[in-house]
Amino acid sequence: MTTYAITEAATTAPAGSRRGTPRWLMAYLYILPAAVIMGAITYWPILFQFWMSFTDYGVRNLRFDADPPNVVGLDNFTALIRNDMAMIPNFNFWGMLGFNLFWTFSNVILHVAIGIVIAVILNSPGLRFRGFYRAIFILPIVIPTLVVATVWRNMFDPDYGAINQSLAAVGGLFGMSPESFHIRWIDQVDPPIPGIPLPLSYFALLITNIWLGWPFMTIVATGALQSISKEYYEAASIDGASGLQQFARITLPLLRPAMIPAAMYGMIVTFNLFNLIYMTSGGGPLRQTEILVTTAFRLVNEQRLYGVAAAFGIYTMLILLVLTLLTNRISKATESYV
Amino acid sequence: MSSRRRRLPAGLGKQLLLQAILIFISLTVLFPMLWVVSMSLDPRNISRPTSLELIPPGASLQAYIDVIDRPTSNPVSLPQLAFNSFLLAAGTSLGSLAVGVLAAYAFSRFHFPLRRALMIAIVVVLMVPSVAALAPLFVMLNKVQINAGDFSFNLRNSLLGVGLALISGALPFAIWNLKGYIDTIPKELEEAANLDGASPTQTFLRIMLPLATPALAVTAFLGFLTGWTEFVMSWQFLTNPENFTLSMALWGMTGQYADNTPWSKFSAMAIIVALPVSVVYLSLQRYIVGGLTVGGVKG
Amino acid sequence: MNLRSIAVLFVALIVAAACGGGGTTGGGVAAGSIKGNITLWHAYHTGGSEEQALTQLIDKIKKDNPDAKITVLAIPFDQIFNKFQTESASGGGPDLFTAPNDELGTEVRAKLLLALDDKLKGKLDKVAPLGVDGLKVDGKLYGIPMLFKAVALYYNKDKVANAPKTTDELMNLVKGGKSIVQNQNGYHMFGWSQAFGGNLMDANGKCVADQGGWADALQYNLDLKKAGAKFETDGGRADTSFRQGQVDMIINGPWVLGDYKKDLGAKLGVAPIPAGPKGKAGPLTGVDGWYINSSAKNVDGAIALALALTDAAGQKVYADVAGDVPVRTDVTVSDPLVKAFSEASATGFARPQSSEFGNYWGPFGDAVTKIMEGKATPQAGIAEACAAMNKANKK
Repeated sequence: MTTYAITEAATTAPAGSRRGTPRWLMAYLYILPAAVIMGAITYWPILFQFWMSFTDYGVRNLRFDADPPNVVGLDNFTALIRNDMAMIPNFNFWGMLGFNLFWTFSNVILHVAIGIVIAVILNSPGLRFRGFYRAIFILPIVIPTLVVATVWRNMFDPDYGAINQSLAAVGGLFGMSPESFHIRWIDQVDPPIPGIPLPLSYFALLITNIWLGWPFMTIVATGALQSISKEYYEAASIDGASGLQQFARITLPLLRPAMIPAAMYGMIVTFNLFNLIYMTSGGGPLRQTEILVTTAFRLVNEQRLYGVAAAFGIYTMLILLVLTLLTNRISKATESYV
Repeated sequence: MSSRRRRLPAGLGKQLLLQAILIFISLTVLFPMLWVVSMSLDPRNISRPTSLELIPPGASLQAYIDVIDRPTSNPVSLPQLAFNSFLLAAGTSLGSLAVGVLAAYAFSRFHFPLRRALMIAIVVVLMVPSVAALAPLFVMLNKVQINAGDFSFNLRNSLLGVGLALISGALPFAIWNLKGYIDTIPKELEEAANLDGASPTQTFLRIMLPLATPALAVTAFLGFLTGWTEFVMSWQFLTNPENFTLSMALWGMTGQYADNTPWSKFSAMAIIVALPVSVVYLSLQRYIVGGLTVGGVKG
Repeated sequence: MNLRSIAVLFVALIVAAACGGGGTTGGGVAAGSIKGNITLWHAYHTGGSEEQALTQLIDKIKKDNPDAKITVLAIPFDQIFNKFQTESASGGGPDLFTAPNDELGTEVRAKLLLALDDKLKGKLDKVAPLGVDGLKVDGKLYGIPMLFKAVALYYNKDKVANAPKTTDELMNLVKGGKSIVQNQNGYHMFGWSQAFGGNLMDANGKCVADQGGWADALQYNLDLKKAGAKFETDGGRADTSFRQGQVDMIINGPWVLGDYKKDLGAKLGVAPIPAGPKGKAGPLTGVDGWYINSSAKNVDGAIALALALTDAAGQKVYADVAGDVPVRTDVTVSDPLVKAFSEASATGFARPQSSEFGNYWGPFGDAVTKIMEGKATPQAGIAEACAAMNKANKK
């Protein structure tokens, strides 16, 4: 059992090659093209960024014949964590990081849970039109996020949006006036649940991203479900296990190895989900739904504070490094569960 | 869930319940797409339909005709845009795949100094969004320029440059994803081949690659999707309309604030952009499902 | 640090009919004088009326100047400044581009634009001073002015017979059941501050908005909202509601005039933003100009092309086709709506090009949101924004 993460492969190399190139050298040869390409277009820019992060690099330094930027030491780094970013009001580094993490985990947990439930439904024996549903359910994956974000933003419109109209239609059945469904999904500043500092636009984004995210998890879970031998269930039934017990004791544990790498992939994608947030809520209201990548993009594209943006990028990298190592540790620790 | 899930065909009641649930889910999935279809047929060019109806009053295909005829303000035709998108997507996909599978094989099957450190280095950049490296990439790629008489080439201002920038993000993912899959392939076959005197390269080509087909298909598809839907870097790097892509044209219609967006044309264009990837996906679907689920197979 | 003193400019702006037919064509360019490869960028909306005006002019110029090879490139508006700055800085980019003077100061300080004082000597005599000043940074000219851009009040004549002239009249209209929609941001709502006696910055670039006026202006808008006025963060949405006749009034700029006319025709009216207790409203008045890239390969061709586009005939095309307000005083504008816009620009607050003003948007944009959403009182919100702006500017 392995995960896609950085686990030592369970493989031990076959006894060293008997002739020719030593195996370690072979390994380096295989890695060489990737090393050259990543060295040039991945790591070198990162090193460049490291240097930029210690300077006040700005538009005036971009010009090819411009003076080099001033070295400002750790100023960019300290300004960021002290929220000393007056040009971006309500800049709150730690708050944003907390939101970003919460955003990621809340999404991925829901994606995986909904994905598994729907996969189990799809996998019910004797289900008709299975292929039809499968074909439909993959559509959210292939629609460009740019389109998804724009459409959902329109759907959350308080007056004409499909969401409020549908809610009003349902509410109408219970005698509620359409007025009570004038919900300002994107703009409302007051948190909908008192005491929990999450704006309504977080929930709007969550709904959109669930729409976007569960089909991938369903695909992964479907494949894994199909490979679970029917014999397990038969044996369990004979032992008198209920459907729920079978789900908890057979289905879930056997899905786990497939879902963990998928969840990790989902985590990376969600943590860095630029398009959706930038175009649906724009980080609003009052920057409450801003995440690290949208801020990085603003620093570069709107403020053009390249030095600060570089420092911000370094922080992002460190955070992701910690996150990777932690999730890797967790996924490894739970591996023996099966 | 019923416990009688063994050999009995689902009862009628259960079948109906499942169908009801799945139809409801299908509706939620299809709803936003039907909305796009509806807007693309709407001649009024408004930002949102004011009522829920699939076929708007006075529906026409004019928006499609307009978009096919003149997709952007710039002198570039729709086939050219589509060709560029394909080139970028296929290049990103195949480039990261070819280089990635070699490295993934090495990481999965060989032991060598610094192996773990290198893998961590890959996973870390895998998680860093390429938007973060926009500025340095621009400056670097811009330094590669060739000027000889009438011929001038600027790597940054070319599809190749954008492709390279995209590969810088797609390659770490390809390595990670493929390594994960190869880790799950039993190594007995290779060991047998090795005993028969096959070199590691022969083993790789004749045994590993065919076995890894599902993962290769997934990686190729996700790489393709990356290239096909990319617009931030393209807009940052490219200035010649003959290099523009479909996604750039689509983004050009809306911008962040979506003011003055020609909604009908935007929707028609959105459908044109989404259609080819949907087709590619459907044709690869069988492999993709397998490639994502092998961990479960082994479970 | 170079500080440009900023003051509210009440420059008498004499546009349009009054001065028609001044004899010489000013910056007119003789046919055949534009030569070589010229690349120009714009950020007009695909299929919009401004793009139409430009295309019409370029076609004619191409015909008149067979030696010129002109390449036109459209860039999305939210990308044009970023794209120009990075391209130009790396030695590329267009020979010239047009945009509002939003980022002029930044571009000049980064040495991305060519100073044009010598090249344009005597060629801008027919341009209103406010137009020329709008493209100056530290006393030097960095562009060829073409259009004024400032917001005004659009109204639907079917619903509102006479545009409100004062803030009280507007309040009464809204209380009487008429509707107005405003884009809730620091740009579209800028003009109210002057009507209530507010001033953004003193001569040193220090924010003084907390010393009165601004809070009153926002209090007025809050009262409007209470009376039923709508405030939108989504511009497209605000536009749609006005164009479809669901809302009677909207504050927006001339760039949507062509589109509004298509939907509302003769029902459409334009008037300045209502005056307040302390005087006329002062919308931020920007100037659209043509800027010459300091990395341009064909400087003379680019300047000649810009002059041809902005001569009296060129500006008339923009006014007639797109409803834009010309900066030249010798252009006859026949459309009363365009004239109304030129009056609105005349009392405007000339967009400052100082780096200090760059730090207006973040803090005040948030202040507007907070105040209009009831999360802060006008006084507290403005005081906080002002403090943030001064902190960013180290004042």
